[in-house]
Amino acid sequence: MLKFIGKRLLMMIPVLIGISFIIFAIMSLTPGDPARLILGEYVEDEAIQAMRDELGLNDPFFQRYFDYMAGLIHGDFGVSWVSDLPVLEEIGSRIPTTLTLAFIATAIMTIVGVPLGIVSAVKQYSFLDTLCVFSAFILASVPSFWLGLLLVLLFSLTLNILPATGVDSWQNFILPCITLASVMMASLLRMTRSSMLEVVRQDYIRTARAKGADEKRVIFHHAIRNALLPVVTLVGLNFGNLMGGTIIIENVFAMPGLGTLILNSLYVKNTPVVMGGILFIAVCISIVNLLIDITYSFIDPRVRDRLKG
Amino acid sequence: MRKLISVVLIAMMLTAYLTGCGGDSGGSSTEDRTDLIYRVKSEPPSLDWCAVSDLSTWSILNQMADTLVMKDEDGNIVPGLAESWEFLNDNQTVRFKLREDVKFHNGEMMTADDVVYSLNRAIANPITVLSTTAMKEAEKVDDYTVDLHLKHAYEPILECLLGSHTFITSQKAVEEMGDEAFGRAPVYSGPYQFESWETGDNVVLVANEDYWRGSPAIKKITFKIIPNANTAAIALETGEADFMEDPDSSDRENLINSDNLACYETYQAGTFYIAFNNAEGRFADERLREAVCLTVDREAIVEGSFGGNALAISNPFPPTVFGYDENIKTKEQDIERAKELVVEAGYPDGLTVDTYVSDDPMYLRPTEILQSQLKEIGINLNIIKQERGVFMTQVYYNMDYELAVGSLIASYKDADYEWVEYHGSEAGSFNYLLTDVPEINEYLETGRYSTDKEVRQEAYTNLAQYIVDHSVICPLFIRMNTIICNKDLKGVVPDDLARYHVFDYSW
Repeated sequence: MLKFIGKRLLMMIPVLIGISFIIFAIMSLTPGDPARLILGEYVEDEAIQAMRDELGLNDPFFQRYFDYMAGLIHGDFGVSWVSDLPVLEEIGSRIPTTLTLAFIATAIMTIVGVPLGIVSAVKQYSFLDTLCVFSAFILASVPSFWLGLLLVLLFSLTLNILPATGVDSWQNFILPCITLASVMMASLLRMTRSSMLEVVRQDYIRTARAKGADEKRVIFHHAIRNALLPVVTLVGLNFGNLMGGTIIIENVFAMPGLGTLILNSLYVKNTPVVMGGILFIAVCISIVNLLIDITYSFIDPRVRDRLKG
Repeated sequence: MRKLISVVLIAMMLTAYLTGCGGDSGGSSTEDRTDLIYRVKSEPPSLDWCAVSDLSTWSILNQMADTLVMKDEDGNIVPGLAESWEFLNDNQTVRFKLREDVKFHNGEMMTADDVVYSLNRAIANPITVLSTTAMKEAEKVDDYTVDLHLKHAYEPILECLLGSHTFITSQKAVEEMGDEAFGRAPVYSGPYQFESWETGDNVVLVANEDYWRGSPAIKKITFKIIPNANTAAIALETGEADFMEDPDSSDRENLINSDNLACYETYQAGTFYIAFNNAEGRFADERLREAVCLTVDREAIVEGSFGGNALAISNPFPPTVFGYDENIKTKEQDIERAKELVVEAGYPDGLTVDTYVSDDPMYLRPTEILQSQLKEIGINLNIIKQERGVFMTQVYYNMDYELAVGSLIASYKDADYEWVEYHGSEAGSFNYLLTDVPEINEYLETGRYSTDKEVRQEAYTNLAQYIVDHSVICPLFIRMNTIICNKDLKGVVPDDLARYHVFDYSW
């Protein structure tokens, strides 16, 4: 198992190098001069040139990229071109908000989506199943920013029971987390449902029933474990989507998270902050995927055996 | 199951209700309040006045910092940190007598050294160039007297000293802290002093009880960073914010109709117009520029873009700046003549023009309406939407364009601010219209170097007439500077330069 984890961690290195190169290339080769964008419209050319020199923008692309990577290897993420603060400090202050959002939303999505998917499969074609499938269809079709605004209109403006902006208390996280979770929950619900439906038609389930096992035992002991494998994969994938989704949700709910930081940095092509932020998200997603793979071994003994072997 | 869902929903709502969240309702009593929540659009990059040029930061700095002169309610220039001033040396030096009772937020008393340091720091700084263009050097005469030497006699010098580029700060604070630390926790002398800064969330200022004009009625201002305009509008309605500038035009009507909110508006000291590349490409031909000017229906643009909440103009200058002459007007709409001009210019089959536009609705909507209007005379605009930064690089800096919707907002209320846009010496730099016309240069130079008001007014009248006659640009509209705030907030006055001072407000 340790060998497997070590191997996976090593595999993260080329992935991160690839991502860093792509982002750096996009930031460097797309139009728009960061020095101009940062200093504003009416600034003398000499000042722009001085800033370009200071930021190293006049150096060739590959030299800039290798300089950046050399710093990264030594743990130096650089300094924000806008605020002059170290990138790690800028990102560090935003991480708690984003991770809180992503983890709570993942929890809500799993706690609500998986059981509803199971119930939906077990009670196929019932009113509850139709309701679940229909709700999932609606939620999957709704853009998250729109759902967020609707929830704010209802709970903040009309009912005045939940705050619409900020991160002052736990109540501020309720609406953004529900918004984030809702959209992802739909795919999880449908995946759980179809996975369960496939499993309950298998021969061994029929055998279990024939041997007189009651329905609870059939579902919770025999069916769920097999049905959960693809569901767990989806939870991992959705976590990645959630980290991306926070960019929009943080903007809608005015939350000072990593998403708003990356977005605002993109507007002025603040490369060190964008690189740092995206690399952090990439590391998070890689680690979550690794955790998901490890979780497989607990759910499915065959996977555990393979890892041991 | 249905019972279970109902119980869970009711429990959730009760929990939220009983915990009493949702902020102060806009309808609740504000009599005892001494704080203000002021929405800003973006995080300040720094609070050092020499390091920034964005409106959100200026909204904060206007509460913290003072200038040598100020404006009163009627718009007259009155003493600020300077008690009095006189013009010496053929108007090439302004001598300021400073107040002796001004204390910085760090407890130090203000002296001439601080004023000299602050002004010279601004003069040496490339970001403040629009306001400090005529300033040469500040010099200490005695502990409370400062001479500001100019490059030449300059009539709008006091107007320039009103703005955010010439704030006065403590020399000791900047030198001891260093630029970067100063920008994170600055020291000025204004009615509010820095308290805290939660990155990405808010900046808090508290009242300076030693302020030389007296302690402000509002004791604490929280600048809440809400980038999304719709969210900001909701925050205003729920009472999570008390004050915002420039709501989205789609929210404006709703906000105005809200029982808890008040709206204050005035026209901006700046214009939106069709910018032409006067030197290169097909619009270097005056006939094509004129054809566009004869076709444009400004009222339709204002109605379609801003629901009528802007002022259609046919004069290149805004009415509130010195130099404006109400008699100058562009030619009346004449589609037939416009069509003839397009043919005369050599395009009997019409022409297609790549038109770059920023994705900001302020520019995008008017450009789209313009597209449909110009189609009538055979000019097809091929709209290329760009992110704001890319647009600025393409049009303002590389000047790689033929026609675009642009804007110029005055940094001081004198037509001299147009120098950067039209003077030949700025062509290829700030002057992206690429005009280098002897007449225009002469009018601008007369306006800048003369100290005779009548001569200056005549020069600017001539300049406006030339711009209109030769279709150098095509004036379109002036936007509103809008404030939406809690209706119980008193003392709020709209401003054409968007300089708002919470010191004047109370509940």
